[in-house]
Amino acid sequence: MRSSRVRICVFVAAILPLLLLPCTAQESAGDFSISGTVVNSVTGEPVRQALITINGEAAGTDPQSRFLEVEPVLADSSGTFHIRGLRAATYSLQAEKPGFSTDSEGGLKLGPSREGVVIRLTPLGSISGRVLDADGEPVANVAIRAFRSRIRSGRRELSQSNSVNTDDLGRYHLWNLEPGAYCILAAGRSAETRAYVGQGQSVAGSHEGFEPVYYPGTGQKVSATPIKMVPGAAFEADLQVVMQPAFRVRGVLRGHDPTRAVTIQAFRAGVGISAARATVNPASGRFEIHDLVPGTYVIRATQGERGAQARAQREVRIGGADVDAVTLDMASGVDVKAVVQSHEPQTGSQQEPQRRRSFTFVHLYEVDAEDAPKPFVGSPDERGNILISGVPPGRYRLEVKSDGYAASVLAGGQDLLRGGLLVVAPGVAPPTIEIVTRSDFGAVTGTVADENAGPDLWALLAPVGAVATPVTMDVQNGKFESKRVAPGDYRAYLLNSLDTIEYANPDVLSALRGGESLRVAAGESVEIVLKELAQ
Amino acid sequence: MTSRPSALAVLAALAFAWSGRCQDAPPRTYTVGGVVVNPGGAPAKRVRVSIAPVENPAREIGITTGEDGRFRFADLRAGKYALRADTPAGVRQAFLGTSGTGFGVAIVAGDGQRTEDLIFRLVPRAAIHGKIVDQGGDPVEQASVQLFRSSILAGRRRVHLYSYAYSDDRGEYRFAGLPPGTWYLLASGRPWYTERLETQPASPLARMGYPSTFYPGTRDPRGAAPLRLQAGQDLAADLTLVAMPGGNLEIVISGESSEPAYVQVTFEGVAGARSFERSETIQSEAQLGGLPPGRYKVQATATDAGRWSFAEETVQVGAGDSKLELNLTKAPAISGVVTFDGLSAVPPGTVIILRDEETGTTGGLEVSGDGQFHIEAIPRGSYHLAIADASSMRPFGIRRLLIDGAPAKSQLLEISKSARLDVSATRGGSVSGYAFRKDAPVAGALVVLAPRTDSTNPFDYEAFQTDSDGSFEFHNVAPGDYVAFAVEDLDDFEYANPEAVRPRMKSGQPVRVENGQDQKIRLELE
Repeated sequence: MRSSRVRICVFVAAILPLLLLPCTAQESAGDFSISGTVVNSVTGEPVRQALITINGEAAGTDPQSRFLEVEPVLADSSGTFHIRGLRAATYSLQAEKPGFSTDSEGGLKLGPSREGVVIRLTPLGSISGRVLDADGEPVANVAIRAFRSRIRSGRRELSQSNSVNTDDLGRYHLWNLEPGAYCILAAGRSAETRAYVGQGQSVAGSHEGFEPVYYPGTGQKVSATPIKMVPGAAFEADLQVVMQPAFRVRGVLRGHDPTRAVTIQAFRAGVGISAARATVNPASGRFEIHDLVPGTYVIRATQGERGAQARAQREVRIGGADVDAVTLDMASGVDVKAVVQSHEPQTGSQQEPQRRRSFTFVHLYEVDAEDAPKPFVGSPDERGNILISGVPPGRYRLEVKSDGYAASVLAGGQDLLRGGLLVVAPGVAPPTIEIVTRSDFGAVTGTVADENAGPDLWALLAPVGAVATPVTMDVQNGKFESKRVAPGDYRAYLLNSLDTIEYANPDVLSALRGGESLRVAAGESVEIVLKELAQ
Repeated sequence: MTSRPSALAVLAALAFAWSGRCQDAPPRTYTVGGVVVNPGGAPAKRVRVSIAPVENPAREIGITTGEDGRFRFADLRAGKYALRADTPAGVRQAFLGTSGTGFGVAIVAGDGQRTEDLIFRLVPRAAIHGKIVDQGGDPVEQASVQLFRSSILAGRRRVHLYSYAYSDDRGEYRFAGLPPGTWYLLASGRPWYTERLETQPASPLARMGYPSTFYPGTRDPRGAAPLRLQAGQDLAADLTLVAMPGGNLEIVISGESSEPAYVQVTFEGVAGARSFERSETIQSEAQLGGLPPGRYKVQATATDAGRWSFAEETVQVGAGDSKLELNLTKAPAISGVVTFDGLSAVPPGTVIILRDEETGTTGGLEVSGDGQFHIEAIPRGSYHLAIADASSMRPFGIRRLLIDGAPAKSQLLEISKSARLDVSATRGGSVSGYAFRKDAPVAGALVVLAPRTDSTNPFDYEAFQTDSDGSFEFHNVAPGDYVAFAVEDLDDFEYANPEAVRPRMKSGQPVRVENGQDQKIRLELE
């Protein structure tokens, strides 16, 4: 008997680890779960069929076992999700669904399982409406453009976010609009360039056009009323246009490649690309642009991809008749060259100019192009030389982005730092741009004396004389500081937001009250006190 | 039978004509006018009415109607005029044009013609709209909705892709400005979440797709229901797409291009019409996920420094993974020369037209003054060839065709490699006349000039919608034996289909066309 009891005890002692081992192993392979719901942050209603993607990070340094791959799941029709078979680790969940901003929930430590996780998705908005003429008739095929209005680097910028056409009932619908301010433009008839063979091809319904109209009914971008989009809002914005006789511009392309697609566009100041239909005969080069109401346009023909583009353009004024015999001579883009000289501060000796390679970028923004165009960008080689190839004919504004500051930018006697434009003529390389950068910054430190100014404050140094760029400083505990202020005269302001004021616009700054004047010299530090919020 | 006049005779005739002009009164002029009315019969304002001589469309003049809808073009010489209206909504309509057939009825100005009080009735356009939802009733955004039309194209009934659209965030789509007729609808796409899972292709969710679904809800093209659209109708056609796992097709691009290739994946839809399943731009390789099992044609096109290259393969996709290699090769180039019998130069505006036999896709290129042409790249396939006048698109007769110096057996070109064509065209003869019913001229009837022996080339058949005085005219007809007849079912008659034409030819009128000959005939409508 005794011996058998011993055997049982041994058996129990032996089996106990066996029972425990699978249990531990099972847990590490994934015995935990996360469950929860996805809801609309505005209405609180469940969001069905949202995609839940999961990232897990376990303890340890082995990347093979540290980063955990987990199968994504869809929330069910009640917005509920269950993710099972998870190991003990820290997880983050991301939920997304069309019509909502993507959101995530991080730092979920498992072991034990987690329930009741709620992910709130913010619904996006929409703007719908109709375009009617003065008779109340719907206007079809109108190009509707939505521009997001926001302050970027101190300037109000209207960047095109969406574009749709009205249907035959004059209706349009823009969706997936993030919260923000939007301007709506009825730009013209929806446009494209059609190629044809033979003698000619007219465009249906091309005898009437209209002046572009911004919501709620102005022709000027500056007078447009932005629509304030809040999460999930569905805004109605009808537009009325005044139909008037439209005219055509006819002409011929020369020097084009008849085997490649050509795009013909009309640009108009304040509007960008005019929505106007065009036809072109690639063999003969004959073209026609339709739908143009009286005004001044830049007619442009383009072939090829950006960087290897051939282009021709010409200004055309349309009065009360068609314009004929416009000749467009295609020319390839040219090389724009620049050279960068940098003056580094040197201790105990006079500064010597050096050609710099890194941390300098030259951006060329086309002035007559569509809104917020992508710039042509170049950076210097080890000798400080910059080459930007394939720049098509046009007028360009130049920006230098550097770890120093641009002290002068000259091209053939033009001061590009003080509002001058770089003009690229067809087939002719412009003069080499000479850029001088310096890094002999001064410093500004300051305090806020206004106790009632509020919690979120910014200090702004606005240059007087417009060569330097504005400097913004976050106010922390009533103090602010910048050690990278280009020498010069400034006016300092206290602001409670940088998103609502065009702080780089001299006209806006001139109307501000409550600033302090200061002069910053190279290598020196200036202290100021801002006593009140700028008004 | 007429013979070619001698130069002396021409000079004499010109001198006679000139002296006649000096002595006679100014030529009589005529007026074309009337009222444009909307479908309800009320005068239509702000409609641009244009008129142009049929033989010279560039001499177009136009006026815009006022409140009374009236238009009037005075001081017109006797002749045939194309009359059309452009509505403020951007819809163009030819006078008595009804169904988008491409035909129109010219107004004949002249003695005895009543052209001053025309009623130009606008025909309302129709629309097809609807909503695409998934099996849970959620709207499907970015569903590809393809609209196919069944109509007579170049004399043959074809079902062809007419337009396509993408659904919006509400799942809604709309095709407007449609002529009445028979239509088919197809929707396809992928669940929105598959795009987010491109980096996790092994995920079961990443393999989901919406199989192409024909209205009213079938994957089988034979089960597709026609949408019969009436003029002015606004027809609703909703579709439900059901997500299901599909196969993954890995596509590897190789060959003669370093540029990305545009790849189209198509399948055979209603009546053989190619229907689009997917299109992608692929640099060297890509995986197309969620393809419903089936047989697909995959075509790749790339252009590299102006050089076009193509590749095409057919692939059977199952539920698992498949792989397809597409080797891009330089597309064939077609060059050559067009000459005309008796002419030292080709007529201005002469174009060479190639029509893909399978898809019906037609491309054209203007030939230079000396007749030379060069098509840099053309996809391999079978093409019908025509030489035509670009303004009227009337084909000239083709007397002889040499391919790389050897006589061609037909005008159906099998293009698999670059070739040189020598095309000898002829202005041929003319056939004109009037269509009558019980001694009254019939406007708007369809007169067909069909080759006496069956032909598979649609360019061998010609058709003309009779003008306001019942007249018709065929120019540039290649010499040969034909049969002419008139029918009234303009919208449905396959005038280039030998099967459809043959029974009508029995009661038609035989016509022999010879070079330079101008024949007048009279046709009776039953």
